Formats: sequence, C-alpha cells, structure tokens
Amino acid sequence: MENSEFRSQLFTDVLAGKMPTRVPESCGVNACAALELAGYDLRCAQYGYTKVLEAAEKINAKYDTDTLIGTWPAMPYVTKAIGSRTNVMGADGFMQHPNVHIMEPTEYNQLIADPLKYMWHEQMPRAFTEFSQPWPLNAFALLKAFLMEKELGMKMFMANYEMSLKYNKSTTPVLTAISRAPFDYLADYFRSFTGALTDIRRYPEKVLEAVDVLKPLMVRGALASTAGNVPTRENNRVFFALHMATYMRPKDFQKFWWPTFKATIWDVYTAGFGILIFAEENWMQLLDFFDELPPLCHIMFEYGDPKIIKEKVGKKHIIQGMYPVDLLKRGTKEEVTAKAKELLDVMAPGGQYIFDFDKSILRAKQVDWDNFGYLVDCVKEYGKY
Amino acid sequence: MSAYDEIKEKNKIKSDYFLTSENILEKYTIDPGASDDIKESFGLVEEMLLYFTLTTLSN
Repeated sequence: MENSEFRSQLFTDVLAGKMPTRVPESCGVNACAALELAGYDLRCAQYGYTKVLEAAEKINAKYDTDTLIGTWPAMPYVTKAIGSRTNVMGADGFMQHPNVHIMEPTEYNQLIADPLKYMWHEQMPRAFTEFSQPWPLNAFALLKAFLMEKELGMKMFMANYEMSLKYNKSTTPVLTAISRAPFDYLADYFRSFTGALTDIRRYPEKVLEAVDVLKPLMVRGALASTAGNVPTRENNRVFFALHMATYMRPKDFQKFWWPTFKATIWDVYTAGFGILIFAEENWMQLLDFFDELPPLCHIMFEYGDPKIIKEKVGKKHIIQGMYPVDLLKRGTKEEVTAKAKELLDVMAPGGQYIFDFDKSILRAKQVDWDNFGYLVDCVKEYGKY
Repeated sequence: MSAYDEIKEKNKIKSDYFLTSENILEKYTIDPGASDDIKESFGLVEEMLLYFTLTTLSN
C-alpha cells in the first residue's frame, strides 16, 4: 500500500512543476457529507470537533484517497458567537452565504478614506450582530470568536495531521492561508453581488478607488498568515476563491476586476508564497489572462473544455478539477471510470495536473459512494506515468 | 530587506486606527533598548488582528 510519504511526494512534485510517479487525486469532500454519511445531524453535529473527527475517521478509513477528506467544518460556533449575517446555518444545518448588502453606495468615500476604520466602525457591527452590542459585550464576542477559532483550529490541525499519517494520506500543505480578489471582497462583504454590479455602472470611479485601497489589505491579510515569519513557497500557499469575474462583461472584468487581482497575486507571490486559485464557474473566455500571473499557480477549474484549458493554461500552471461530480450519482461503475480515463488522457500528459471534481461533494446524498471508491481506485491505477 | 518585508512595506496600510509599534514608540517614552521588543510584540499582535479581520471575519 502507498504510504503517506509517497503520496505527499506526489503533491510536492506536482506543485514544484516536477513529474510525479502518478497523477495525485484530491477529490473534494466537505465535512457535512462525511457527517451525514456517518449518520449525524448537521444542525447539531458541526459544533465542536468530536463528531467531525469521528465522521472523518470513518470516511478516511473506508476510502483510499490521497488526501484527507470530509474534515474542516464551517465552524458555526464561531459564526454564531459573533452573530454573523454573512455565514448562517440553513434549516437543514448546512452553512449558507446569503447575498447580504452591508454598505450603502453613499459610503464609498468613508471606505476609501480609511478602509480598516470603516470596517471596524461600520461594516463589522452590521455584518456581525454581537459587535453592535454595547461595551463590554462586543469585546467579549470578539475575544470569544478569536480564541475559539485559534483553539479549535489548532485541535483540528493536529488531529488531521495524525489522521493523515494513520490513513496514509498526503501531508503536503496545499492551502495555508486565504485571501481574496479585491473586487470580490468589495462585492461579497460590502456591497453584495447585485450592488457591486450596479455600482460599476453608476459609480465607476468610486469602485476603482475602492478596489485600489482594498488591494493592500488583501496582500497584508495573506502575509499576516505567517505572523511575520518569512514564508516558503512549498509550505505557505494562499488560496483565492474567485467569485465575481465570470458574472461580469469582459470589458468590465478587464477594467474593474482583473488589475487589482493580478497585482495582489504578484505581490503575494513575490513575498514568497505559493498561489492556489479556485476559478469558479466557466473561465473559457478569460483563460488567456492566467498567462499574466506568475508561474506554477495551482488553479482549480470548475467547468470548461479540458483540452483547451490544458493547452492554454496547463503549460505554465498546475491544473486541478473538472471531473463531473454528478456522474457519481447517475453513472454506472463503467461510465464513472471511463470518464476518469478520458479526462486523464487529456490532462495527465506532461504532469502539472491533480485529479479532482468540478465541485466538491457537499452532501452525502449527492453521490453513490460505491462509485466514489471505484473512481479513486481507477485514478491511482490509470494515472500512473 | 527580504522580499517579504519589501512587499509588506509596499502594501503599508495607511490607517491611524490600529495602534502599531511605530505609534507606540512615538507616543510613550520607551527605553531604546526595549524598542525591538515592542516592535516584535506589537508587530505580532497587529498581524494576528489583521489576519483575523480578513479571514475569520470575512468568511
């Protein structure tokens, strides 16, 4: 059986642009899917870490994946402690991100003048109800969230590391910090999806000024993940989930979205970090832009033509994703494995490829789990170089 | 200066909202021998608060 060291090396090689022994797979499975598969109720099992780790033990013992799956919950205990309006639990227990508008268009000047001051005075108390409580309740809420995240995050990190060794999973860090494209940050945490798209027509200059002042924050947020220590590209990788780009007209994308994102990526890369990007939705019209980014960005694609993506992006960067996860629900074993081989035939040559779904498995009922096992085994065998 | 510190300087956040190590050194009478300690401690706090603001509270 392949051990943890062997599988870690597969990822280390790919992320360094070297040819691995075989294609590594990193099929995304959310903690909620693992909890449901273990028979737990999402409405109560996501609090704490005991049930999450029990569920993760079960799923990782059963499926011979290259990476640990079904772990890292959405931490509702943190978001509830601060009364988050941007991260709320749905009726069935799954955490949702509502399209919340926090900032009014009349407040652009305040945001631009001092973004941190605006965030702490205006945005935070509106986004998190506990921060609008009078002193000292607001301070207690902040302290509770900060300490809980730190304490439970460390417990999860240590438990996950031990579980990775126990079940022969890779321990190569793929993601160690999170940042955002400045325009996405403006849309998702200030003006909302619809508000930001309206603003680029009504207040284009203000939007451009806003993304310019948010860009240093996006860079500093990434840099702060090492608490002042100089990073290494192998061990410190910053994740960017791209949200708004594919919903914009190409000329708006080029003017409002891309320039500050590109500048953010180059600064984070130059500071010594590796880059991980989730290119949400379909980026086919925008693929050429990835050529402007530093080499060996690890880019997860959702949809698109694998051949064209491999040709245009795969020579300079590392590609992950695009296997249609819904096939695991409706397909036979033969169909599931045939599709995997078809994708591997296109993506594996030349390396710089990690096998993954187009979308992670979020819920247990979303797939036939026998098919999941067949798929994982197929990739290991057929993905050998 | 390392590339990391250069990028940090390039992206200096112009806000008088956080009490940074530079503010502390200007505001109080501090023994020059202790200034590095202050820079280290407040620098770490500032980084942690910044990271918390831009990750946990922006998630």
